[in-house]
Amino acid sequence: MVRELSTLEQVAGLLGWDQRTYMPTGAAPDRALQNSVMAGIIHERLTAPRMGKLITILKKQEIPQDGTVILREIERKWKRASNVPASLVKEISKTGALGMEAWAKARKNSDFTQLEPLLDRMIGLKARSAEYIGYEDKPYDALLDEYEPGLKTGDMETLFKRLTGKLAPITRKIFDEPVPKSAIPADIYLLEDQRTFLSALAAGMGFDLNYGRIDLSAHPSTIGCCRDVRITFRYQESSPIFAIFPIIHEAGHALYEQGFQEKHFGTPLAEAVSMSFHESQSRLWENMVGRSLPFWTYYYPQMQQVFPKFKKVPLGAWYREINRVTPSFIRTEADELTYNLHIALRFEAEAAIFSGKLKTEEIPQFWNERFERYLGLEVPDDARGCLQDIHWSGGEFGYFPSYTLGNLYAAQLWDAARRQTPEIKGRIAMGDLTVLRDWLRTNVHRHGKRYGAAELMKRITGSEISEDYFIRYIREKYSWVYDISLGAAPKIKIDR
Amino acid sequence: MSEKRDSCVNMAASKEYRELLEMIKDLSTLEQVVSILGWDEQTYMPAGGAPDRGTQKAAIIGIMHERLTSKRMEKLIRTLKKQELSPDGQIVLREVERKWRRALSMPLELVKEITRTGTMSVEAWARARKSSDFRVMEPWLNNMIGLKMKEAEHVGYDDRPYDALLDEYEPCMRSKELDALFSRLRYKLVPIAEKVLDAPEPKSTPFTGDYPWDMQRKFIADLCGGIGYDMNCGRIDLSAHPFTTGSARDVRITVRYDEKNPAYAIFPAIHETGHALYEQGFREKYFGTPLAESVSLGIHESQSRLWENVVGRSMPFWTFYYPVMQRTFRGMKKMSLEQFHRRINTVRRSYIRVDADELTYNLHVMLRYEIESAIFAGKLKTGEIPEFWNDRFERYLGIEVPDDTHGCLQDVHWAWGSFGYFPTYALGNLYSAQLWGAAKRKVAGLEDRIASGDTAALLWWLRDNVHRHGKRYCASDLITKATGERPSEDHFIRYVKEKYGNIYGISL
Repeated sequence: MVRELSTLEQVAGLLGWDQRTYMPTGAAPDRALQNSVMAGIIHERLTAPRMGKLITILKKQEIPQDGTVILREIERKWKRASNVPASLVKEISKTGALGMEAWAKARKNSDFTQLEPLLDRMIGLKARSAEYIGYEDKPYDALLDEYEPGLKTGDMETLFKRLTGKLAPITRKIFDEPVPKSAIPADIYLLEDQRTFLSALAAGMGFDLNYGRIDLSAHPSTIGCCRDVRITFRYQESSPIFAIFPIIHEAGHALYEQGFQEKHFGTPLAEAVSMSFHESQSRLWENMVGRSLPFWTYYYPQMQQVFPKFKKVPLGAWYREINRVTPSFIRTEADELTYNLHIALRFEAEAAIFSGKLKTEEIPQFWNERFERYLGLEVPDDARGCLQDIHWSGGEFGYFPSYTLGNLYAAQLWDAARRQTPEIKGRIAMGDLTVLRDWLRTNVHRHGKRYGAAELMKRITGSEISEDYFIRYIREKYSWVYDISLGAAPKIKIDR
Repeated sequence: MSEKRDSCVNMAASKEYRELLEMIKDLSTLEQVVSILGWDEQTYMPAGGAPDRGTQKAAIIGIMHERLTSKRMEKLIRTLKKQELSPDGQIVLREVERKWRRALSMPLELVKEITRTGTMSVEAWARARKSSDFRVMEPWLNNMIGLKMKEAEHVGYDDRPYDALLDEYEPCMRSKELDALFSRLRYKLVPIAEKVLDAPEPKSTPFTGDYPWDMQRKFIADLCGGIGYDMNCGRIDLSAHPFTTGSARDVRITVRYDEKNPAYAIFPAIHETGHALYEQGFREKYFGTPLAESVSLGIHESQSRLWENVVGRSMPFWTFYYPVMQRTFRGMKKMSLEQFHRRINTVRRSYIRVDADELTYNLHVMLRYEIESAIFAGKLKTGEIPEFWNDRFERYLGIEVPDDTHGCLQDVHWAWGSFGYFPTYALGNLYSAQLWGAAKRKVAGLEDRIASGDTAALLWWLRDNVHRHGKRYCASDLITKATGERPSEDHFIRYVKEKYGNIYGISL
């Protein structure tokens, strides 16, 4: 039954991939129907009386260790699914479909009021579903739990407070520095050439094309698992930068999906720990590795071969180019430093909404005030403000924090990888990414959902999850990039 | 006023009927999902994804079977049979019941056994074909025939077991009827084919130069779009074997290509577009019901053949499109329209069905039909297939089969267990000629319009007379309604006589 569910999820995934890549536009209504029928079947199978019965029986039996993990995870899923009435699930998915449509329009016209009624309805529905799912402390916990099992609003609040507190002085200092000039030579960077280089990058990281593909789509994504993992990218002919980092990011996700043990395929032991852990893999590759000097020491000459215009740009200029920090309105275009401020703002809005402190109509004002406080910019319109992301209109509350957690986990893992395999940077500079990949395989990927996020992190790094690794990473890197002092790196105690 | 009418409609559609509609629409949606899985498998799926894809398809098909044969479905069908339904409702119920009966009649174990044996036997077929040795696949084929015989017994038939298999692809058709039709066709066709094959081949020039795929792709997209394929609800990709898949708002075709020979891609593209036009020609309000499904494989094939051969290999069609093609491919500047037309209509003796011209094609199909019906009448043993094949082949086409690869091992159908499929190819040819005859009578100046690039008049005639009806009528009734005559081989005979008499300059 568990494997069948996983098979059905693969099918749903493929439909999603097709929708993003090759589906003819006119087929959208049919695809919506297909998605909802598939979601219905998955829900029906998961909440079938037989499933409940099996879980109850198995809980009384002594089962092998792998079995306990599988049982624990399926029970978690089953509980979540059976606690929420099917009618509410349907209502949410319908409102979500309408909401996303309204969002697209509202964003185009930069008018929050066009989304407001549907968003308000969605918030009401999600609040109701939180009640059904249940929580100990705050309703928002129930929503967070979907993306990061076990995470509590309170923990997140403290974490974000500490993180923003430490980030603020760093960003302020960097904002005061002159912005480096763009180093991208004006040229037409043909898709075919970009594709050649991107494929080489993904393959170099270890993305297995016998079990995957790379295609184009409006928004980069990774879809699928196990023997069929697909990544997509977008590009601009004016600069290869728009495709390079999304590809590294998505390939990071894909390596996780390709890194599970074959014998566990179709079970929670071949699934990611959480959304945040998934994001840690993509961020680690994209930022810690993909925006590092060792990485480009090897790959930059290759890039110069594919794009000869870059022969005039020295490696150092390229490195500064890809690590430029500037305050910007749009989250997806933000650098790794300010990115977390964008997320903090979203988290605060979500937490306020679900504790009843923020009304739907007050979102724009809340957004704009916080944004100015964190990033020092005045939001010119809703399109560049609270309407920029699709998540809320689709009902995905609780998702955003996992982006920041992903950043923090990535820094902590990167720190451990470097300590445990000191040769790693040197190997990367020689174009050998296998040391890191194998380290991630052994320490993260192969475990699937065996451990929860906190436990896994502790096992790997010897310490609790903390924002300090990220802060230290940022300080080290940007004091070098900007040649300024960003204060002492925080001392980190390793209790192993 | 309008409210009142609405309530009438609602009253007419009982609660049970609405539930049935919902159930079959879900089934049709799942069918679309299977289509996408199949399409992806043939086009973009990474090689390593193959084993999982098998599991995925089986899971969805299993769910469909589960739902089709559910208690609720049975109850709805039984209840609705006692209710008075609208004419549309009657068709929907008739077709759902037909499908339901077939699904229910088959023990799940047998369905699984056939699927399993099919996979093994296709694999054995590939090996047998490589070594050109029928004996390699014989045991598997023998198993499959035994299983299909069982299937026929479970499904049931009035006259012959083969009818039960035929019924899956060509509902309402019986092998007795096919025997008569095909023997008349053979009697008339063989002498014509002989005459044409013996006549000196008209001069034509071979294709020279290169035809880069990018340019072929553009030309094909223009061509298929030009004859009405709606690319907003469809797309064209590459695959090893051309096919059409999907329904409603998502109908996709694939082609293959050869950079030395543009015809290699063009005709499959037109063929598949013919299929796609049928799928895109149903009425939107019926999407997801049998009223937006094809009548039969024979009728489906009539649409592809009509566009591919009757239109796509005709002088009027290329009068418009050849100059476009010449502008696209410089290599064709030196070939005249007449030469090109002769080139795409050369009749030759050949071993392979899929390479055969439209004149000899039906002989290839009839041979297969005779073997199938002999097998399921118990008159032919599996081990005797190669000999039977080679004998008949020589009789019909006048050449000796050199080996099994060029003979009874060339097609995958039997290995899959698709017995009863082949005759629909020939039926498609006959239907297409008959439909074309009627369209020419009914649409004034049809060929001139095609010669000026206007194929819309033909498409609309097909939409009105074939597509929009979905499964409302069975094949022979549909043809009768559209053409004013029962299905007959005469139209096809007349069509080939006229066409090849002209091209070969002989009297037929």
